[in-house]
Amino acid sequence: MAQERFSYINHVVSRESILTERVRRLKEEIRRQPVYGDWERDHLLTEYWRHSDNEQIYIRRARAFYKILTEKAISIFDGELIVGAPTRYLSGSAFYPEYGCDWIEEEWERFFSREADRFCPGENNREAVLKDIQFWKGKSLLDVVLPLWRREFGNLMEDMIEARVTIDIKPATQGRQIVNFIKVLNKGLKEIIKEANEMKDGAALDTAHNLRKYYFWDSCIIACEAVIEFAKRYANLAREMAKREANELRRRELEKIAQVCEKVPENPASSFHEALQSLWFTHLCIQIENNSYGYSLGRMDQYLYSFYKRDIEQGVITKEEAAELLACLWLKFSTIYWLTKGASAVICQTSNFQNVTIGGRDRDGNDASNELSRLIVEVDTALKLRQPTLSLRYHECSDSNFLFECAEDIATGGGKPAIFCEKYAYSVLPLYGIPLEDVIEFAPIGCVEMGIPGKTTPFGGCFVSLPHCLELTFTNGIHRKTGKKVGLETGDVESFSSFDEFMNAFFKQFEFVHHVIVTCNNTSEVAIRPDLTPCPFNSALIADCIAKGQDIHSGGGRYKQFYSSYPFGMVTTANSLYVIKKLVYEDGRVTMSELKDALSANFEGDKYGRLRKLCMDLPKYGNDIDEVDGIHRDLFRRINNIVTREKNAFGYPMAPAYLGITVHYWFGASCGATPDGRLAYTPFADGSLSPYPGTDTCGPTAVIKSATKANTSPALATLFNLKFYPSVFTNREGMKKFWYLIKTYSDLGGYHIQFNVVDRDTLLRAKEHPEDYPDLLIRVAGFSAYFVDLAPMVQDEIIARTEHSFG
Amino acid sequence: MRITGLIFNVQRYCIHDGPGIRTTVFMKKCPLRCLWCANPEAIKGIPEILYYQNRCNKCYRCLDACIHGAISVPSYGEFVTIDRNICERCEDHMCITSCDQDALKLAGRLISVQELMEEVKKDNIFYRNSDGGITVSGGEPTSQPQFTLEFLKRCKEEGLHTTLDTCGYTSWNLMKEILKYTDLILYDIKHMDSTRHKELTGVPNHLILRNLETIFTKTKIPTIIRIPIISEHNDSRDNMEATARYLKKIGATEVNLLPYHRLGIEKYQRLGMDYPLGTDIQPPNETYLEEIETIFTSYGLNCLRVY
Repeated sequence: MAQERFSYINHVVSRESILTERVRRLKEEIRRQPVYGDWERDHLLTEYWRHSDNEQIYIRRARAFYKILTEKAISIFDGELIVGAPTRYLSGSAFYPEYGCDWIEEEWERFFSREADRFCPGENNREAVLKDIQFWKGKSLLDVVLPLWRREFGNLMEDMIEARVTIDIKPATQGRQIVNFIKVLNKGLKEIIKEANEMKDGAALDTAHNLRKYYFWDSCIIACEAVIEFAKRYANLAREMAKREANELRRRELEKIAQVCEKVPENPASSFHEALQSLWFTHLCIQIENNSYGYSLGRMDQYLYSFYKRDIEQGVITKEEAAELLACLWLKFSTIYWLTKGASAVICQTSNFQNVTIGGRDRDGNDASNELSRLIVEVDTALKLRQPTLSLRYHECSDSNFLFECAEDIATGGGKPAIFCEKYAYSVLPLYGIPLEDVIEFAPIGCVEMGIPGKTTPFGGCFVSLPHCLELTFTNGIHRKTGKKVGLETGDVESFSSFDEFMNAFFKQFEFVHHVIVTCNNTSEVAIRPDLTPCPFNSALIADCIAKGQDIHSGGGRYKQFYSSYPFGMVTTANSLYVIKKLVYEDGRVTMSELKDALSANFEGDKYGRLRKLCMDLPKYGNDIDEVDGIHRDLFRRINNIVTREKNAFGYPMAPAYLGITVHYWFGASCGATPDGRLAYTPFADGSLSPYPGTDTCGPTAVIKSATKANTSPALATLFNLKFYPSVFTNREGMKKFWYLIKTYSDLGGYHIQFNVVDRDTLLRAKEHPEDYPDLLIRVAGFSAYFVDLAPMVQDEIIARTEHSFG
Repeated sequence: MRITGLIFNVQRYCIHDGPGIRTTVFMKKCPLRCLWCANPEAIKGIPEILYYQNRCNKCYRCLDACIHGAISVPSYGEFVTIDRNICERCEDHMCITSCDQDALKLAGRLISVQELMEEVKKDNIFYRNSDGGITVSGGEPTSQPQFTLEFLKRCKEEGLHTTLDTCGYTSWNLMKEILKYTDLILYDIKHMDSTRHKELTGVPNHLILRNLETIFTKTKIPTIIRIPIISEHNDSRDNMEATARYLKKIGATEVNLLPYHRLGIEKYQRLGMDYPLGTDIQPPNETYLEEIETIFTSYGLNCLRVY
């Protein structure tokens, strides 16, 4: 149910003009219809691959892409204004067997019955699918990369994946990028074709290297033509449907859709409607070419604004019509899925991180927010969809009303928009050699990492679980759950005579695990991908691929320094290290041998239970206590040093990025008990700056102080979730105090912060199932309490209070 | 001289007790016994044990830990009971450290002015960015006059905005000193009828009203009147009218209504106390609150609701 708006905020349009009957119906339809796992795209690809053995790989990929886009079934769904779907169905995804096919075969049945990310099988012919899968065996990217990994490290990488020291992301290209929407919208794909043609015409064919470039340019042309053809098929379909349409109003809409699709993305857009459709076709086709997560949209309120402004000023559309069009686009983001292995599905929780950025400054340093920024927030707030991800670039000159509208969105739950403090980005990006004019254009991609729109090579991320490295330090390299040796022999943990010695062993474990993962990732990144899965369409839209005649995987992109390592579990590790330092080495209240035994016994039994209480009673990160925050701070510094000593596939230092998505569940489930008192196989603290649930008892200012002590620079990302209560926003004063909090976070050097609003539903669930919410700390009426400690009557009263926080 | 005070909480990011982002220091000890008190652990001037029955796993380890014999169990399998008279003599509270389940907690700790300063200064940057500061509340801060005075004085030396949240039941001579270092007063009015006031809070209201009048005549400190709205006890139209009339007369301009809530009710059980108001009283309803607001605004008073 839609919540009331805050009465003290000015809005661009009314809520009703966003949630029109059409929008409500489309939203309901998306919710109602199953999400399909559709093999059609994969079958067309396989068909092409069967009969094209002799083609150069760029040309082969481009032509296969052409076949897919010109032959796959297309539909326009009832009421749609923005058209184009990833599969035959309203929502869904293809499987992309060229990246790995064994998992598809193994999980075929499970896709349709598993708990997270369940898909509907659609009209796939199982026999035909299996036949296609057979074809890819031995040819897929994973099949080719595995022997290389094994040659380098034996079964170590696979054992690490099994032990969940790292994550087995389906080896698709990482989608973490923003393509050059600005160019497509303003110049059209025909301009890109023209550029590629000019390069191609002037190409020398004297060396193998030059010939490869020639093929590359040709492949870009074919790929762009494929997308243009795809749009024209929609134009034809709309025209056909218009002829048969009895409803006059809908007939005119279909004719309009036909006009728009006939024109874009081939030509420059000249209206808001055309710009949105052009953007959507581009975004959609990138994902049909190569499905992954994190394909982001960048600063949408900036590059769409001129289209919006012109249309409004010239009376082409009203603000209400613009809102409805925007809502139609928003609904489209919800129809794209990333179909992955069960493991990755757990990580993403049906999110595919299509990140839209709003706010920030312009090139002159002025506030860049505009009416469209506000309209975007209003649409996002009204629709309450899981996608797209929305990011606010925060700075001190941000328009107050715009900020208030963002907070209104935050108050509805769902953590949108996430807030990114520009100041941090300005201080960090130059360290990567990014010139100022590009720094100012930065936008979060995927989840929280910084990227430069249209210029950053999509990068692979190497997850490494730090609490696992801590476990390996205790077990001398053996993973507790699998019993496999995945770490180094750093010596018997009882033999370390000082905390420094312990820390050194721990960092050695990390360095080793990290090295293996980065090396394997590099192998698939450059040794394999350029020759197996080049992406000509994607490459055509990233500077300087066409200028250099190089695919993104071969290093065509301008900025290749953002390949990242994702060390994870910072807070659980820091809390644990503090316990070791204090209890074992400083106070001597516990011997290392006792602690080691307690961990392997998962703190079970009376004796270890008491030891666990000692561990848990020590100060924890998130309460503005220097001695424990200091360990967390230092952890960043030393991990940053280790990470940047490794090189990425293009010779640049690996970039540290501390994110997390929802991996704290997934990693936690394979990690034994940790010295902070966390029990075996339970989640870690989420993100990289969020306190362990229930341990932050001093409120948000204390958490923010702890978080900003961390030595994060030059990390490309940090992830910080904070719990919040909608009652904060009841009036303008409360709202202002909320933004003072953010201002201070920015002043103190923070980067990302996002709010999980503890809403009515959460409280109702906690009342029903207290056992699932032992850590739900609430803060009302001047004191904090664990929700589960309260009597039902009091719980009801708190639930009732969350209701009159709006209005 | 090292002055210490007994406090039971230092709460950061308080946004309802004065301007900006504030840290509120909750002091123990209060001369009033309001039936609806939401902070019963604040009443007595000594540290007290809170017993969370819902967390207790009946391991009875605390029975052995208490060398004074204050903890007993009626029969095996039941919750423990704490003899508060015996317990109050204790200083080391071994029972708390013996409990694995965190079922026993101590409300109240001694702290020096210097230590408290260190704690509240942690949020300096938040005060600066939001024009916030420090609030002393309780309990009743003037019940520990020396400590409150010294603490507020130190706050002013550090340039921090100070707010005193008081029930007003103290001698003017003490109050006067404290107000030298106070930038804003939150002053509670509970009932205009002194007899009724005594029934509800244990004390008559003469001293409270006289102090308030003196504040308005002798000082220029901004003062916000806070009125708890307790159904069937002080929320009659007559009393609200009388309060509004009185406030208008003495020159008050700002009124906060604090609608009754039962969020502190658990704490009574944890302290082994009965809830004096009983569980029948409901929080006031929205329509009636609006009516009350109308009464105050009709007297030209700015009226805000604070939860």
